[in-house]
Amino acid sequence: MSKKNNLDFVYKEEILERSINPGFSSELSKVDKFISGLNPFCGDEVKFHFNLNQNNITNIFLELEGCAIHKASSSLLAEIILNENINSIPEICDEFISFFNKKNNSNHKFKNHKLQITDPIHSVKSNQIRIKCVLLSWNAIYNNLSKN
Amino acid sequence: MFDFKTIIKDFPILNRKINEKKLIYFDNAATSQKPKVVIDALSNFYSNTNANIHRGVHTLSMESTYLYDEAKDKIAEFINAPNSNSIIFTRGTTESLNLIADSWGQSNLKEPDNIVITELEHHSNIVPWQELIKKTKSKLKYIPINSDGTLNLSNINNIITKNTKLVSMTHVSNGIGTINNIKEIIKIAKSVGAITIIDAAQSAPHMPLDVADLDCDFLTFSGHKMLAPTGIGVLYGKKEILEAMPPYQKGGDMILEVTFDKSTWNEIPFKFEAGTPNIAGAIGLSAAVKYLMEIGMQNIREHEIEITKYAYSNLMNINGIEILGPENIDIRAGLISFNIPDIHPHDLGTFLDSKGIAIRTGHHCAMPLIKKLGSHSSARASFYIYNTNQEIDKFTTEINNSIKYFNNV
Repeated sequence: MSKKNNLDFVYKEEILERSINPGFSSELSKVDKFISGLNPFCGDEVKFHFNLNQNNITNIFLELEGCAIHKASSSLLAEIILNENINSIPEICDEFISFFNKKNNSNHKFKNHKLQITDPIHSVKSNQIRIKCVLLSWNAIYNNLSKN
Repeated sequence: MFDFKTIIKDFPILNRKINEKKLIYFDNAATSQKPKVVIDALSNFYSNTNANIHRGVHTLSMESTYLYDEAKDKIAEFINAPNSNSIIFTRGTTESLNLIADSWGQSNLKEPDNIVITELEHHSNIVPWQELIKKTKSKLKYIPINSDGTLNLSNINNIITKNTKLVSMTHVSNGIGTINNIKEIIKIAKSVGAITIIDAAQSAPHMPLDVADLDCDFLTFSGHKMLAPTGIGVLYGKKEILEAMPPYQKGGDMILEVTFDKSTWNEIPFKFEAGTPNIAGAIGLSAAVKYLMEIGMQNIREHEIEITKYAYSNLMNINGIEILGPENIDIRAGLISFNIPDIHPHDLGTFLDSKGIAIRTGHHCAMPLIKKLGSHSSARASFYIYNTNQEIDKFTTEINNSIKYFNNV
C-alpha cells in the first residue's frame, strides 16, 4: 500500500524495522545492574539488564513491552550505551532528552556523535502525545544513573 | 423508534475534519461529545443568569438557584430517586467514590470488617478502598472474573460474608464492556447487611437506571460521559445513610450554624456540597439529561446493541483478532476492547487517528483487569448515540489497512 502522509513521517521504515527486531534479546547468565521503567498512563514497560566490567557496559539484555516507537527508541539507546562507562551515560541521555523536549531545533548537531543514529526517530517530535514513548527508556536510564 | 440518523446534526464537533478525514469518534467511554443544547445551556447561563446560588436575594441569584435545583430534580427523575435531597453534585464518579470512602468508610469500618469489589473495577473503585483499609484495619476482597470477563459468582458466599460491610461494584466494565448482574449481587450483599455502591459511570449514559428497583444504597456517575460538561458528577445515596454520615469537605454552604468555637451541619444534600458548586456544570448536565430522556434510554440501549453487534461481527473477521470480554451482546455494553497480533494498540491508535478515527488505547485505568486477561494494553472502541454502522465499516477497513501497513515493512 502507499505510504505517504503524517503517518510515514512518524513511522519511518527504519523505526518500524527496528521495532520488530530491537536486538539485545539474549538473556544474561548474571546481571550486574538492572534498570526498569514504566509509563503508568499507557502501560509501556522496559527492563534493562546490564553486564559491567569496571563500570563499562559489556552486554545488554533488553525486555520490552509496548509500542513500535518505544521499542525502537529503547533499541537505539541500548546500541548507544553499549561499551560506554555508566558514569558517562547520564550526559548522553540528558543531551537526547533536552533535544527532544525543545521545540525548534532542526539540523541539530549532537555533541555526542553516537546520538546521530537516533535521526529516524526525530520526526516523532511532531506528535506531542508519542514523545513519551520515545523518552521512556531514556528517562529511566537517566534517572537511575544520574543518582550515582 | 427514534431516528438516530439525524442526531449527528446536534453535535457541532462531528463536523470537524481530523487529518483531512471526517471525524469518527469511538472514544465515548473516555468522554462523550456535547450536543448544541448543552453548549447553549452553558453559554446562556454565563450570558444571562450567572450568579452564586442559595444566598443572594437578587434576581440573578434566584434564577441560578432555580436552575441548579431544577438540575437535581431532573437527575432524580433520570435515575428514579425518591427525591432530589438524595442527589449530591460532585466533580465526577471518582470524587463520589472518594466521598463515600472518606465519609462513610472511615466512620463505619473497623477490624475484622471487609470491603468487596470486583476484578472488573476502574482504578477509581479500587484505590480509595486500598487506602481506606489501611486506615481502618479492614480487608479488601475481590469477586474474580472468568476468562470471558464475566463475574465468577461460584464462590460468592465465601467472598461476601457476615464481615462484609460494603460491596462496591461497577455496573459496566470500562475496560471490556461486561454488564454485571448488579441486582443479584445487591441482593446477596443485603442478605449479610452490607452497604452497596454501584459505579454507573459507564451505564448511566447508555441504558435505563432505576435506583428504586435496584435498591442500591449509593450510585455514582459522571456528567462528561453522558453529553454534559466535565467537572460535574452525581452521587445518589439513600436518605437515612447520607444523614448519618459526617461531612466530606468543610466550608461554606454545608453548615447550619458556625460560632468561633464550633459548627453544626446543614441538612442533606447541602452537607456534602461545601463551597460554591459547579453551577454551570449542573445546568449543563440537566440539559444533557433532558436531551437523553427525550431520545429515551431504552432506545439508546437498543441503538448501541445494534451497532455493537455489527461491530463485533465485522471485527471477528479480522485475522487473529482477540476481543476481550463477553461474546453475548446482551451482557456487553457498546464497547469493544481488542488486540491485533503484532500491532501495539498505540500504533494502531496513531494509524487510525491519521484516518480521522478516535479510539482509546492502553490499560483504560483498569490495569489489574487487563493484566489478569493476559494483556498489557488493548485498543478500545466505544460507541454512543451518534455512531453508525457506516462508521463501523470504515473502522474495520482501516484496521485491515493498518495490518498491511505495519506488517509490510
